[in-house]
Order: sequence, then structure tokens, then C-alpha cells
Amino acid sequence: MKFNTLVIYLTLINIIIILFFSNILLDINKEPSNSVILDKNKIQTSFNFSQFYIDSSQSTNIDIFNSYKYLNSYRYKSTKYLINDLNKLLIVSSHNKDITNQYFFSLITDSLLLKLYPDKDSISVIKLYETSNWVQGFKFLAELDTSRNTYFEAMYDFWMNYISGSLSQLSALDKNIKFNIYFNSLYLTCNSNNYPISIKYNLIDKFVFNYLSKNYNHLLHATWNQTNIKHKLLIFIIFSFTLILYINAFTDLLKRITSKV
Amino acid sequence: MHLQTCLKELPLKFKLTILLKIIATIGNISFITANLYCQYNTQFVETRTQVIQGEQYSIIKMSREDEHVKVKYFAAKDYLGNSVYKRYLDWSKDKNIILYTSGTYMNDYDINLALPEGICVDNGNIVNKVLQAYDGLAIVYQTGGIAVSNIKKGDLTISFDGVKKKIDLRNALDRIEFFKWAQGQNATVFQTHLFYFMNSLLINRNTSSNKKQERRFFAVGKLNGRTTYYIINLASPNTIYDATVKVANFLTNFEELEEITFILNLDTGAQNVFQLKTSEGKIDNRKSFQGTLPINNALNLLVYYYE
Repeated sequence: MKFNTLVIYLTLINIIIILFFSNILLDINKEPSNSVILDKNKIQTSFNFSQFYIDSSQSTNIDIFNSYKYLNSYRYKSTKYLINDLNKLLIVSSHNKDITNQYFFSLITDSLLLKLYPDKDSISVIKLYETSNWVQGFKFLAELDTSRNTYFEAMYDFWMNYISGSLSQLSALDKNIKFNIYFNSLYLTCNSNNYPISIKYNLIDKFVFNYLSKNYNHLLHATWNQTNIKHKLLIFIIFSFTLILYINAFTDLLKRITSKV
Repeated sequence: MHLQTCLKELPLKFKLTILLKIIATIGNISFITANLYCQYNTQFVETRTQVIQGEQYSIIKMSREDEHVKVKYFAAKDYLGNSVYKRYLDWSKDKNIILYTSGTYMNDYDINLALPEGICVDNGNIVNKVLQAYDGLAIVYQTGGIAVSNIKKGDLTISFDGVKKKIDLRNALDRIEFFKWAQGQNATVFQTHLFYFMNSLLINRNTSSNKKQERRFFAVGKLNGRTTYYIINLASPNTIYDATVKVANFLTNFEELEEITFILNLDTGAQNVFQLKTSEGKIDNRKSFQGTLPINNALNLLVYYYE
């Protein structure tokens, strides 16, 4: 093998490295297409509690509360309204406090989850980022309303569990998501509040990490155990090919030096 | 000379009594010395390797009889930031260690950034509140015992001021109460995969991972009515389903357990830390009783000791 072949080989490796990093850079700059950042102007208070009072005077059943309309009213989007709304609900409900609180809890958690994230496709980093910002309000509500702090703490816990779990799933599907700026922001928020996200790494990342950490025994063991015969053969071919290239380059260099001498 | 004459003059019965007393004293001294020197009594801890159908099983069997064998779990760094490794070194100074192994999984490859996955509380200090899909929740008591609950059953019973309450951790309201209880009790809790519970296999071949790797389990069962702990390591690559079935069959057919209380999975991936000590306190050099990473790579440690 001549020196030129070695240059071509190294150039190809360089191109691959550049392509790899350019892909990462593109990911950093990529703006999510389905941006639905919470617009404060959009918050409406169209849910008519007065009408609800009138309706409830005819019936004392909590079920007449139009949860569908309430969740579509955007009123829930500002957590400051939630204590007021819950109080109003408690006034008109004939049920005991616990049942009404439980009903409201279920509304703000399970029912709202179905509305915001009806399927897996509706989950995106930016949407989770918005939800996370909204959810932080529950921490203040729990401190503000000490008699119902368990409910607000549980609402916070429910949503943070959902956010952390969803981000872990997204990380498993897209290994490059860890370079997304919104993902990183959420990573910090979740970690600092004891809801850590699981970061998934691909095999190359793991290999490099173990190599740099000098965990050679672990690396060898894991590679041997987790690769099938095709992979083992491929590793052997690449290794042999690289070794041959180095030997050729070295002998070529030696020849040049000796010929000059 | 004087002693010899004295002994000669003594009656035979008296001589025999002195001889027996000397033998008994030597026996007592050697027993006490052996106990001081030994890390653990092999009557309660048995280690062996066994090959069954070409598969090598490395088995550590520990009897809970008289509660000599105890468990300690280091779930994460402490609030001062001391690593699990440092915490273990400080704690183990006056302990007779049987073995240590990594416990549950970690959420990042970098040990400096990583945290344990799933619900995790360390001595009342909440580390992770995220409920993972793993079924097993292990509660390690200060007394050295361990209890495991199947999260999917939702029947974890905890006591609040003497009042017992059933907790379903899948419910956020119950989770909040559970964390308050764990903080109040200085409890140590971790979540991991539960593959066998109360004689029932919980893992499914079709839905479980096909990845083949070394596998390690913590199993608890009843042998002759007594609680027995097992750490079983399968060093050759196995899928998680195959390994669980093999271990369950081994416990039923070879160990003849009356009941398999549970089988928990232990991490052999990013933190494959495992070491067994001999009864003399030396490191057991058998390769199948060793992990591939040193102890300072452990984010959490499950330690068995003898007291």
C-alpha cells in the first residue's frame, strides 16, 4: 500500500467524523416544529362558574361539573386559579371534602393527561418543557394551601413522573436528544427536584466511555457477551485491516528513510 | 523436678481431671480465636459453583437462622456528597463482610452524574421519586432484614403511628404518603426488576429484552421453613428470561426450596461490581465470583455481612 492510499483512508475517516459532528450541531440548532409555547394571552376564563352554581342548585351531584368544558377553557393553565376553582367546587358539592378533592385531583392529573397527551406521537420535548414550567406552580400551591398540600404535592409528583418518564423514553428512541437545549434544561429541572431522567447511550458512546475510563476488563467482557458471531467477525476484520494499514505505512516510511540514507 | 515429683504423687483420677481441663481450655481458646479471625461462620454461609447442562452457576447461600447474616444497602451518595465507595469503606471497618454487589440500575453512564433508577430512598434521604416500570420495591431495614413488595399488586403495607395502611405506589397520592413515611422512618428503599414473586414467574419471553449478558440475581426462599438468601451469578451470556427460568428451576429442583419468595435482578451492565470474601476474610479469587468493574464504579451497593 502506497502513502497516497493512507492519505485517502485518513481523509475518509475525517469526513466521517465531520459528518458525525455536523449532525450533532444540526440537532443543537434545530427548533422544534410543533412549538406550542404557552401564550399568556390565550388564557381564557370562559368557564362559567356562575352557570355551574345554577346547575348545581338543581342537583347536588358532582358529576354535573362539566370537566370537559373546564379542561377546554384554558383556565387550568394558570395554577393560581386552581385553589379558587377547587374552593368553588367544594361549596356546591354535596360530597365530603375528600371525595371532592380526589375528584379535582383526578381531573388535573388523569383527565388532563389524556387531553394534553392523547397518544405517544403527541409527546415532544418542547411540550414537556411547557408542562414542566406549568407544573412548578404546584409547589407554591402546596406551600400556600397547607390543608390540601398532599393533593398539590401529588399533582406535582404525578406530572413530574410523567415528564421524567417521557423524556427517558425519548432519550431511548433518539440518542442525540441529549444535545437538545430544551432537553438539557428539563434534565436539570428534573434532577434538581429528584425526578432524574435516564440517559441512553449507544454502543459507540459506551465503548468510548469505558475505553477512556480504562475499564478494559469490563469492555472486553461486555463486547464478547453482547456481540453475535457477525459482529465479532466484523470487529476482527476492521481490526486486522487497520493493523495491516499501520504495518504498511510503517514499512513504507522505513523504506523512504533508508532510501534517503 | 519438683513438678514431676508432685505429678507422680497425685492420684490418677486427679491427673485425668487436670488433663481434661487443659484440653477444654485449649479447645475454648482455639474456638474464640477462630471466631475472632473468621469473617463468617460457614454453617450459615455456603459458597460453591455448580455446572448444570453446561451452564455454570456461582452460588452464595446464606441462612437467616438466628439472624447472623444481614443486609445493608447503600443507595446513593449521602447528603454530604460522599460516594458509595467511601461510605462503604467507613462503614465496613468493624464489619464482617460476606460479599458486595451492585444493586439497581443507574440513569447515566458517568458515575459522577448518575443517580439510581426508580424509586430510591437512602436512610430517609429521597434520591429518586420516579416510579419505573419495574415491579420490585425492596425495603432494607436497619435491623439487616429485607422485604420486597410487588408494586403491581398495590398492597404495600406501612404503619403510620401504629395504624397500618395499604399503599399503591402507582397512585401519586399514595406515593406522597410513602415518601413521608420513608423520611420519618429513615428507611432505605430501592426499585428493581422483580422476576419471580411468591412462586410465580413474572417475566414474559416475548416482552423482555433479548440482550445476552452476564446475569446476577438476589433470591429469597424458604428452605426447611427457614428464610434463606441466595446470590446467584451466571457468568455466561443469557437473555434475562432464560436466566430467570434457569435460576428458578435451580432453586426448585436442586435446592428444593419449599417457596421462592422473590427473585430480584441485580445490575451487571454499567456497574458490574461484585466481590465475595472467604470465611477468612480474604478476597475469593474465583473468577465467577467477581464483577468486571472495581468497587469505586458502584453507584449503589448491596452488602451482606455477618454479625
